[in-house]
Amino acid sequence: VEPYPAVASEPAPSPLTAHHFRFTGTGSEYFRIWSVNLLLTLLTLGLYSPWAKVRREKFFHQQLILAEASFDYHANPWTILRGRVIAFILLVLTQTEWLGGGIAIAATALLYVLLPWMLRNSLRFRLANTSYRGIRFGFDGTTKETYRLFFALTGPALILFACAFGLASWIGIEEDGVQSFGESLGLAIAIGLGVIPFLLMPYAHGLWRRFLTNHSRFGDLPFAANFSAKQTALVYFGGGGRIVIGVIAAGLLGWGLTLISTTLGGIVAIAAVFVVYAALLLFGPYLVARLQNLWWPLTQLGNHHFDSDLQVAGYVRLQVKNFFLMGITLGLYRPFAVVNNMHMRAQAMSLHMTGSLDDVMQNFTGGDQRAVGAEAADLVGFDFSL
Amino acid sequence: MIEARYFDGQTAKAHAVRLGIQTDHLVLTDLQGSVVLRQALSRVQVQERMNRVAQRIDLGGGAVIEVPDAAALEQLLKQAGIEPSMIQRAQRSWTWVAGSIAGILLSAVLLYMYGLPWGAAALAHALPESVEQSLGEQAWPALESEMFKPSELPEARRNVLTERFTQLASATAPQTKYELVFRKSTIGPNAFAMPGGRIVMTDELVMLSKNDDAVLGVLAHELGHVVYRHSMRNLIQTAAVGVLVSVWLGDVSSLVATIPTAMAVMKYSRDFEHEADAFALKALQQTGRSAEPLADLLEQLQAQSSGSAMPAILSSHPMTQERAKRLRAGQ
Repeated sequence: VEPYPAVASEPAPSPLTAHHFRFTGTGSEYFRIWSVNLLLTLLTLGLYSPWAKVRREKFFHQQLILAEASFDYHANPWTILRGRVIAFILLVLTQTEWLGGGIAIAATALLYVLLPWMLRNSLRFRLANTSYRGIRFGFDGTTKETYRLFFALTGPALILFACAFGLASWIGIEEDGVQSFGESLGLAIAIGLGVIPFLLMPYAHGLWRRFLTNHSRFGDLPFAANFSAKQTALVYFGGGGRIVIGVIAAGLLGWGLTLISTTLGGIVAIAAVFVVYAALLLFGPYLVARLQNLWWPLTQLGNHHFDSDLQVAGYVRLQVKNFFLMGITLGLYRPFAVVNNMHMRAQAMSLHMTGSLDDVMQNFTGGDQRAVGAEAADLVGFDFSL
Repeated sequence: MIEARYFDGQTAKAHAVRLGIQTDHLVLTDLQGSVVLRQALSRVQVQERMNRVAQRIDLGGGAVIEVPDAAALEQLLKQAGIEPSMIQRAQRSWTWVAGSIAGILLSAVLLYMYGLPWGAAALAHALPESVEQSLGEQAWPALESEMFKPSELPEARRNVLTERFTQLASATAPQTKYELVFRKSTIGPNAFAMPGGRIVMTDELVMLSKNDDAVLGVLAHELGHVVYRHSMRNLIQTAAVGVLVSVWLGDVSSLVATIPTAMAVMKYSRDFEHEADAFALKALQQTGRSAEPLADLLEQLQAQSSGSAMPAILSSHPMTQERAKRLRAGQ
């Protein structure tokens, strides 16, 4: 009997160290940047806005700290101005249907066809202009991939909308109202067709995020997404479902109370409207928090892992406080609100590295950073926030 | 010599260094004292200073130095003749910030009170008439099919009113293009001017008026809207206010931004009503008519609408009492 080969002693697993993100910016510091930015933007009728953006981004990047070093943002304001002027002209052209001559339709079609190219440009611009420890990030999704994904995500929705509108106008409800059972059925089908794109939107968001993550790099090292579009959609449906249940429950409660007392039912109905309004307002922040907690723990950079444990209820409560203080200060609290959010979101994030900090950092390389920087400056400078 | 971290742009590893300045050159030495890098000050980019984080100096090609003691660095740079920029100093001083906030509020008020109305009027008058006409033509079919039916007034009555209004218009605004149409309304007594100069008068309002002078007063008021291009100016102003409010409230929520926009635009529509009233007053006087019937009609309309479901606050013709008073005082 051949003896089992001696088990080769495995190399001692490298220590896994957690490094927490920290955001050290304060509301009062951002308030000062924001107010000077806003004044200069107003006085220059918006022309200063690219410089304002760079100042703002520098603040948010440089105040974000990971493993004793901060991030940085390098965009050239002139490049941003170029992108904004082009986007502005296109947008204005889409709003000129009253000029006649089909310019608006042509501009809208052109915008739709150009949008994937602009989106890719914007992603490359943002990532190539972001750095950490002297190494730039990057986005390497190709134009072809971006076009394919964009049309796969938006095409079916557009076709469904067109079918819904076509069906509704064929029935002709606009002229004479709903008159027969057949018409009601047709209308129900049209509404159903129009609603499907909204139900598919969460999946599309998940697919888009996977695309972004899988094509992002830090230097030469790629990010990888281990989450699915379905997981993303479930987050949406979970939150949306709660709102729907809440609305139905409030409606039933209000109806029940009207049987006892009309006044009481009325008060509950008004309160319910406010609650629904607040729920819709807070749905966005709820999604932000839940999605951060879903996506980042399932995101890898090489063999390093991220984690996020943002307290969802705490984050939503913070938004209530932010909305309230912005309301009573007529918006002056806004810079503080933005910093509060950033603080809480960064604090919840961490990067788990395999190996010692110096060894890991030694292995992050980015090739010729001078070329990367020059390439970033050559992009058109669309800067959609994504 | 100041403690610093040096990133060479090749890898993400931090190198502990000391930073100093020797005659126009930035010099980095490692902890053993040997020179790591020597670069002309003209070829380094000192970034703006931020509180609590290391200040950054870009060396080009991705290489960067992070200096934790930003105050010491500022001293060192000052000795070498490099001062922080104007905007940096502004952002650090609370006096400047207070000035900015005051400046923002002042320019917002000036923009709202004078800048926007002036700009919108200039733009509305600069736009070719065909633009305004095609806007009106686009809105008209939907409006007509939803709100109006053909007029049931006797043709003779319509002809008399049209003829008198034509006289009034050619006497007071000979350059203005307009078209008067009568319609039966499904929303009660009303009259309005569309972009492009179409003036719509409803049967109900004609029947409510005690005499022709009241009808002509209303028509003169609408002609005032046409002369001053109020519908176009209103469109431009509403759009501009919407943009400004969303800049101010930013990405907070488009849901939240609608309320301040609506409130801000109400002042403009009141101003337009006053301007059109003043035109009507002048036109009536010029053609030898009294404004009294118009004032009476306004109050009558007000009394009617306060009985209806729509509160007067939400109506686009607010401050009826004041308008009637001004018309009578103008006699």
